[in-house]
Amino acid sequence: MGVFGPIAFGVLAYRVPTILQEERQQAREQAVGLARYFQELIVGVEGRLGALSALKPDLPPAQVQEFLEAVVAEGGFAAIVLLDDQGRVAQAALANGSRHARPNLLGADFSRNPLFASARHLGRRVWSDRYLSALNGEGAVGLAIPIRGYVLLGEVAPDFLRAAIERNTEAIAYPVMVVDGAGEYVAGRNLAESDRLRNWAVELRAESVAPGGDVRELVFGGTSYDAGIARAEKLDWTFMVANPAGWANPRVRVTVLLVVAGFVASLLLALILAPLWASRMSVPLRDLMAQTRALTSGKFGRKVMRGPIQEFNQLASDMESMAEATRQRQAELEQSEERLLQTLQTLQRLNVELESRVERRTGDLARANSELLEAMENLKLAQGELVRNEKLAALGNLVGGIAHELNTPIGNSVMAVTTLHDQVRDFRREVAGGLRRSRLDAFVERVERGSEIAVRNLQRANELIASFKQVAVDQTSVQRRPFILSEVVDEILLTLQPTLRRTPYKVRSEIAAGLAMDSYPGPLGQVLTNLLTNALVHGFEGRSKGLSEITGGPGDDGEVCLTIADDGTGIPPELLDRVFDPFVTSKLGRGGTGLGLHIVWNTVTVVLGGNISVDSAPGRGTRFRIILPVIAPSQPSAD
Amino acid sequence: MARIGTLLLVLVLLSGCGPREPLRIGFIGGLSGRVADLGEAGRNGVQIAIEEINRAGGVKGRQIELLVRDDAQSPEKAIAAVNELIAARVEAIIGPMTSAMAEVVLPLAQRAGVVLVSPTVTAHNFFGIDDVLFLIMSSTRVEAESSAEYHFTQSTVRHVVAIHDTRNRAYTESWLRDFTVGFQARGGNVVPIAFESGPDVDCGAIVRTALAQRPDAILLITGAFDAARFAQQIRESDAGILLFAAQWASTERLIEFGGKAVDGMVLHSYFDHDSQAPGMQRLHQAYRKRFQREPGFAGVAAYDAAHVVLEGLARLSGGQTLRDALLTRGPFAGAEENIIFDGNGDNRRVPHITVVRDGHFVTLR
Repeated sequence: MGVFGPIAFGVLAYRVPTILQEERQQAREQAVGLARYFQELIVGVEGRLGALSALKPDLPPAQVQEFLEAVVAEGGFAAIVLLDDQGRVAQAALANGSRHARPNLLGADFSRNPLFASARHLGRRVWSDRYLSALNGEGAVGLAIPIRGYVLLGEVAPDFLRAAIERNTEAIAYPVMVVDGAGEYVAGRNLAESDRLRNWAVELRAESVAPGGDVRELVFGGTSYDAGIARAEKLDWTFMVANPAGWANPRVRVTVLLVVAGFVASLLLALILAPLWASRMSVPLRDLMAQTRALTSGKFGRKVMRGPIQEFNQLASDMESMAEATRQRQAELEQSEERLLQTLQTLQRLNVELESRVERRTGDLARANSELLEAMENLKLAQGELVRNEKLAALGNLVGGIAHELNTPIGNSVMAVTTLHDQVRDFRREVAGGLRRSRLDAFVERVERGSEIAVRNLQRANELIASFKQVAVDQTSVQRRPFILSEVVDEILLTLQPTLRRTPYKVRSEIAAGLAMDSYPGPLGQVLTNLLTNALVHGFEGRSKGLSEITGGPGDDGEVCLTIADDGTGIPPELLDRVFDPFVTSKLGRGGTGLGLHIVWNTVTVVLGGNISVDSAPGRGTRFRIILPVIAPSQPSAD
Repeated sequence: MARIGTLLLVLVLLSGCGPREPLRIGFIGGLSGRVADLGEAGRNGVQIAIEEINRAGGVKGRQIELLVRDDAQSPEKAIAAVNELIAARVEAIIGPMTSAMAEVVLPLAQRAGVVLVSPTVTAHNFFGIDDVLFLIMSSTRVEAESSAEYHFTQSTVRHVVAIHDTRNRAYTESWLRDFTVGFQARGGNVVPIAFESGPDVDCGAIVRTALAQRPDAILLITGAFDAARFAQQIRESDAGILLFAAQWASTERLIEFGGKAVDGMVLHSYFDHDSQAPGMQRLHQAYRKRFQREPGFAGVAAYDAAHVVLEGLARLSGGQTLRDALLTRGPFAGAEENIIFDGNGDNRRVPHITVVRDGHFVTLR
């Protein structure tokens, strides 16, 4: 269907226009042929009458009559009359059997006969197709030839021309028509009465016709035709030969029907042959299928029946050799499968062993892990213990420092008050012996001086106590409060005075005035104490002098920058990277816990929310740099 | 398969989409033989009217198809032709062109209820009857009476021989009777000579018989060809006698065949050869261009008849029949004058008197 359809359509699309073109061409050629034939006929007829133009009209009438009758006898003319210059009939010859409605034709007046008039007027031969027979008033074709004052007028019976045309068109099965100069039907074939009776001037006369003929579309009896059209010169008649156009054309119809029939036949043939072919094909196919099924279920060695179709036989042999090959390959496959099975079993065994080993190892590892975790826990506990010990040590130092500081003012006060007490006792004894003015004045002066010393020293002690009290509160509780950095640093340095005073080393501080912070002054003090103590204990060890400098000021990003630098021995390079790690000390086993700097790092980063870095080289001192936020993050830790 | 089915369906549907079926109009007239001039002129007049209407878009959007039939002046052929036209369901038939044929076909048309509009039938017995025949011309009585009056009063003619063709008896006898009545009433005398037109007619004998009566004038109630033949025969014997003829002879052929013999012949017709009416001028021009000749009275009358039918169809409304429309919806435009039918389908036309001078028709009144 999908193939035949386009082919059929293509054949029709190519063939039908070609056929129609050929048919049009044929119609045109037939019309031209008919016109040529008619032209020759007319020329022949004209020649016969023309032969009479040599006639001398003044011959005896009997002789003229003889000539006229001789020409009439040759055929073609129904009547020939010789008209004198008045249009009167001088001689007349009629064909046998012609309907001579005028027995007394001689002398009849033809002066108003249009053919006579125009031949006389023009002085040459004139053909007329609109001529009405002077014999019977019916339509005829007339030829007038002027000769020496006379006019020869020949009437050609329409039947003569009609018969000639009809003889020449006998073979044509479609409308053939000849119309005269006025579009009136003259002769024809295969035409309905209505078509013969109508006037064809509009269709066939209105436009000029090419010398080689034209083709026009005309309708006869409701059917459309391609009409070949040609004209004859002498009589200006139009000759039309029609060939059916389009579907009405038998060649087109036959072609279309053949193609359609071929299309249908091929469909039917396919339908009929399909079952036959199917059964012819299905026997070997079924056998082959059975063979295939047998092969699928593993039955080899079955032979396929050989049939008439070569391809199936070939397929059968191929299938048998395929079966053989399959069988061999299956045997090989079975062997290799067995080998594979053995390998697999070995692998399985190994796998089981491996699994148990892994299990064992995993148990060992888990045990080790739990032991490690335990150790870690212990370590952590130890670390916490150590940190607490360190803090207690720091507190001890603090208390020592405080005691030492208070010793002086309170000692001075005690001394002054005891001295005063002694002087009061002396004065009372003297008063018992009589009071002298000079003695009283001296006593008052001494009391004044002594109490002044006492008051001054007690005030100093009071100040110290207030200061220590704050430090103690800060150190023992992680309390957040706003403070001025310089004050806190001074207080810390004050607590360190007792320690420093026993050493040759100096601490100098230079903190920007009025630098306020909202942070944890206790932890900050501990950091500073630890770093300064570190310098004293490690940096200046074995040195006769040393200087620690604390500088502080606003940092780049609105933070606070503290630097604690010394000109001590510095930190050995191998320790520098690990200096903030716990248990890192140059004095391991000699009183150092190795936690000092770790606590510093921990406090700075965790409690104060800042960071700390160290810069040191052996012999070039150590510089700690601490960057702290002015407002500490609000996640204080109990540590 | 579905595609082929669809194709067929489309073709079937498309076949219903063509132009609307045309309206068919029949024409019947003598198109062969010696009265073919009348039939041919009639057919040409109808054809021109229909072509004009079709060019203007047809009647109510439908084109007009003309079915032409030849009655060959034979009753058998005429009956067959009219039956064919009726079977083809024509709206109306224009024709026939002669009263003899009208006599034959009128009963058929009457039975089928098909309107006949005859351009040229004038026999008096068709007038005053309520039938399907509509007549463009007035009756022979008007024409013959006018002729009798003219010749009796305008000349000294008192004794007339009337040669009449029995082939068209309905017409010729009607004319003869009406003329005789009118002429004798005035005191004149009419001698009729009948003949049957045909190829073997002995014109000489008839003319001799006529002249033997020693008439003041000879009346020819014949077709043009016969009138011309008689005229030539008469002139050979008597150059001076007055010839006059009924309308039937007043075609161009009379002059063609008659030559100088018909000069001076007086003709009676309902047709003014010198009419200056714009419609006539237009028709003359169109007819000459189309057929290279003059329409003559038959061409003009047929043109008018076709106009009557086409205008009647255009004015048709409701369940009206064409006959009702023609009777009630006039007047209808003719080339020369308007056509209005009385209750019997008869039109009134002015008779004209024409004379042949130097091969031309000249209207006297």
